[in-house]
Amino acid sequence: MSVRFERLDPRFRLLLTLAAIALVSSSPAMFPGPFGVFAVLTGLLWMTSRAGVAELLWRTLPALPIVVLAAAVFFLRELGTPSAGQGAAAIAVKGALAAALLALLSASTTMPELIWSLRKLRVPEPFCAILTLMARYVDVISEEYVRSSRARQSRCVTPLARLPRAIVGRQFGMLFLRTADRAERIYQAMLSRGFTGGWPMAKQRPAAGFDYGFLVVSVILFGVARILAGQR
Amino acid sequence: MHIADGILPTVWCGVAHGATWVGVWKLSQELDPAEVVRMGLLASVTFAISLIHFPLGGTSVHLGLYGFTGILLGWRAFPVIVAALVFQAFLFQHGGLLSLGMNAINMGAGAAVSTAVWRHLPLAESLRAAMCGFMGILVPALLLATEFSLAGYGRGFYVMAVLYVGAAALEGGLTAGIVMFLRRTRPGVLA
Repeated sequence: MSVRFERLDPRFRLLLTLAAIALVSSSPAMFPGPFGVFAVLTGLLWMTSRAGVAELLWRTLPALPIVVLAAAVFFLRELGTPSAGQGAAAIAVKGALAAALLALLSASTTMPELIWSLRKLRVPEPFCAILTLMARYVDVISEEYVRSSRARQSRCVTPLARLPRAIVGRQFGMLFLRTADRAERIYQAMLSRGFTGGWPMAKQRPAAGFDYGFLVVSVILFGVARILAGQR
Repeated sequence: MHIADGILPTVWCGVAHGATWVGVWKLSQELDPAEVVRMGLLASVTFAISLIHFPLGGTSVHLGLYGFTGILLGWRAFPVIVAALVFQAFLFQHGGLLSLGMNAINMGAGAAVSTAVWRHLPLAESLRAAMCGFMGILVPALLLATEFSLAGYGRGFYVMAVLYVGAAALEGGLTAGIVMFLRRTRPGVLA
């Protein structure tokens, strides 16, 4: 049996990522040594993923600007003190590792799996329903926006950014109204098919020893690295 | 304006996470299914519009529509904002998993202030709507700067919050445009 991150029960993937991020984030900012251990563990988790390194790196990138900004602000504030460079580096490494772990989760977990996990973890049903509707209709709404943009562009040569705000506001208002109308139609159609407020869930295999083992071993390894990092 | 994981104290993020889920649970009680469908659609509109970027002062900003969501849904804007943040963190790594609560509280505060402005400020409707859009961006930016300041990063992030005034003004103008359009065409939407 191959050890693949994707083979884990989605709930365990979510919990493992959350625990690993919490352990990395809670490490003392002034003690960057154990971050090498965290980096190795994160790398090992990356290696168990079907997603390639290039994809995971690509997914990690968007989180980095604020991490770099935070490290730079910390560095400038502490400039002249011995802790400036070490502290800023620790912030940058912690932020990057946390982003890398989140990238692994998002590359290996589909939106339906995430919503299923949240349901199983007893997140309120209406919230899960909002997420389900978002997952289903974001594409439709984006398409509607592209259509209304095309209509605007065919009637007006000014780029969006230079148009008076009122005109852009009207376009977004129209998008909202079309969406609200569509929501009403969808809701009526759902009612006609017997919708009573509950949402069907795809069947998933029950959690097995592999899931528990992978979760426990990974959390213990991250926990040991956190203990090595010492107290704040 | 989304806080990534690993840069604010973990305890704060944990507490904010807990508070967010309590808030979501509380505000999700007694929602009728029709309202859930509308909230879901509004969440997708918010998310889709947040993907559109506008050039501003050599950089680009995207809309949040937190103020507009506050106008339409009041306190119930919070679960919608959390849902949009889950999507943004999961699909685009904007924000983080552990810092989701901090981001939700920041953006939710923007929507809450907008709700209060919309419902209680005795001003012309277009002005109120513009203020809602403005506050929907500026309040989260100020909260973010305060959190970083309290976490030991100094006051550098207040400079960033000042830079967000331009984005907030842009959002204010657009929110006023949307609200005035809805008032003319479908006043029932703006209860």
